[in-house]
This record gives sequence, structure tokens and C-alpha cells, in this order.
Amino acid sequence: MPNNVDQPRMRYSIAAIILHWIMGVGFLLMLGSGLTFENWDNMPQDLKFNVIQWHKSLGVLLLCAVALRLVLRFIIKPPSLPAKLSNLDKIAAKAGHWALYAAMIIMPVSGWIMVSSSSYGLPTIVFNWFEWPHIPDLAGNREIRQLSGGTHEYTAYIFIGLIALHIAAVVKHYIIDRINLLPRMGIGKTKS
Amino acid sequence: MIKYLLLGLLIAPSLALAQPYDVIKDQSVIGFSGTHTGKEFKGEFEDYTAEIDYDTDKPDSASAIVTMDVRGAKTGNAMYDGTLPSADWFDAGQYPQAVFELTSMEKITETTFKATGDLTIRDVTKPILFEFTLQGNNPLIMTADVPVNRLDYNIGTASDEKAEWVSKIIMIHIKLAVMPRKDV
Repeated sequence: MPNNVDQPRMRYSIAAIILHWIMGVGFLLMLGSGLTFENWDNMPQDLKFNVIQWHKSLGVLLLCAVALRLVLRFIIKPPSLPAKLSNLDKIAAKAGHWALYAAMIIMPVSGWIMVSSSSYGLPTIVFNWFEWPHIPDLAGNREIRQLSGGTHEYTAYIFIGLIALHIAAVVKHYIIDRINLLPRMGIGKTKS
Repeated sequence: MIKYLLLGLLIAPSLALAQPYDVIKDQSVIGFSGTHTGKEFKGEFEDYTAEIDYDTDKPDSASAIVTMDVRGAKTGNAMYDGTLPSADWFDAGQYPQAVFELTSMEKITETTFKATGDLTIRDVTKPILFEFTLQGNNPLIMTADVPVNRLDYNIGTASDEKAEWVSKIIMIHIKLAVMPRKDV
């Protein structure tokens, strides 16, 4: 019987893989919906309101998901990067991943601060399921509302860039370096 | 002694005229409605008290004070009910009560009347004028639909001063069934 414990793992844990793909879809929906209601000038009020509430709901779930993912990341070590990668690529990969984590934290947290500091006083009722509290004592604070709004917007643009780089890196390693990274994230079989 | 007698003489006629009325809560409602993103919302002030003195023969001597606890303003929609008490709307923590005080009442027809009064919401008191109907007997039923401009009372001014989301006019729908108090 092969002893898998001593062998370096080739792929992320199943929990990390599931979280990666669910959160990937989740964040793309967040970016898409956010860009839509911020830029569609004549968006029907009713639709706009509902999309914003939906955005808030999904944001809460993603904040919980990123917390879970970080905990998992420290408990279950990710597989080491392929030995074939150059040192520069390894550094770039690590920097890129941590930048993505930073964006995944900053986006929901700044959104939460935005909602909490808004004068609207609208509660966040996560998919009509439970109420997510506001951060106390921020309501109506215009400075914090502006600061968090700016952070949310600009981090979103940076996040889009990071996601594009993340995907471009997979393509680059596949085509140029002949390294298929997808099995690490559960797509296709790992070579042993 | 003479002073008290005189005072008694002064008070006695007004006591005789003013008949206190009690609201029959389960036949009464103080509701409100407006629109949000173009869709109508409806709600009720679930917690209110009314002190009413009324003499059928002298309607213009009536007095009424209606006190609504804004924390009891409910629409049944968790999103709205969470928003209403917040600082930019009712600011219920700071101003838990809205008060209407009748200042004068005038008969127009047998069943319709004109009322003026002071409405206080948050820290704003403004005179309002509206018509209402008074029908029936035991209970006497008063009905009115009163438009209130929420911006007059600083409701939602920071959130939506241009009324892009929430209508400027909020209708107050009143139906009060009242009976003369018996134990007086």
C-alpha cells in the first residue's frame, strides 16, 4: 500500500479546491454585479435595489468563506510549487496568491464598512435568511463612508487585474513552461 | 375657599361638555403607505394612544392628542422595518414618539370635518390640515387619509433628499373607532 503521508501532495485539499472554485464564481458575480449597478445609469430602481441587496448578501457569505479558507490554509499546507518553476516564478506566484487573499479580504470588509457607515440605515439581510449586523457606531459617518467606498472601488479594479494575472499565469505555465497547474486545483489527474 | 369654588365653577362646564372617548383598538388602525423604488409599501403604527374629548353638539370644542411610538411602525418587510428606526429615518432611539395634537375642528357637512393640528415627528413640529369623516354611533368611526411630506420632518434627508428611492409623500391612513368612556 502506498504511503501517501510521506509523499509531497500534488494537489490542494478537497476543501481548499471546493472553496477556490465556489469563491472564484462568487467573486466574479460580485465584480460583475458591482460594476453593473455602479455604471448602468438608467438601471431600473427596483432592479438596482434588489441587485445591491443581493450583492450585500453574497458579500457576507464570501467574507465568511475567505475566513474559512485562510484558517484551512494554515491548517492544511498547500502543495509545494512545482520544482520546474524558476525562482522568480515561485516568488511571483506567492506574491500573486497573497495579493489575491488581500483583495478577497479587503473587498468584503470595505463593503461591510460601507454599508455600516451609510446614512441609509438599510440592514443586511442575507438572502432573506438572517440579519448580518452593521459595525456599530459608524452609521452616517460620511468620512468613513467615502474612504471605504473608495477602497472598495479601487480594490475592485486591482482585484480584476490580479484575477486576470492569476489566469494568465496558468496559461503561461501551460504553454511556455509546459507545466499544467490545473490538476493542483482539482481539474484533471495529477501525475505521480 | 372662594378661590376653589370659583375654580370649580370654571372647570365644571368644560367637564360637562367634554366627553372622553376611548379607542377600540381592534377596530382601529393608524397606517401609512408610500413607494420605494416605485413599489408601494404599507405599514402600521402598532403602538399608539389617543386622548380624545368630543361633544357631538359642539364639535369645534373637541380635543385630541394621538401619540404614536415610532418603534412600533411595522411594514412586515424586515428590510424596511430595520431601516425605519435608524438615525436618518425615525431616529427612534432619540425620538421614540410622534405626536398629533388637534388644534381646531370645523364641521363641513354632517359627516365631514376639517381639522388642523400640530404634527411632531423627530424634532420637527408643523401644522397640518386635513379633512376627515365621522360616521356611526357607538362606535363613532373617524377616517382620514393625510398626506405627509417626510422631508418636512427631516425623515430620510441624508439618504434620499431627492426622493429617488422613497416617495416624498407618505400617506397616513387613519381609522379610529371610538366609544364614549363609561366610567366617567
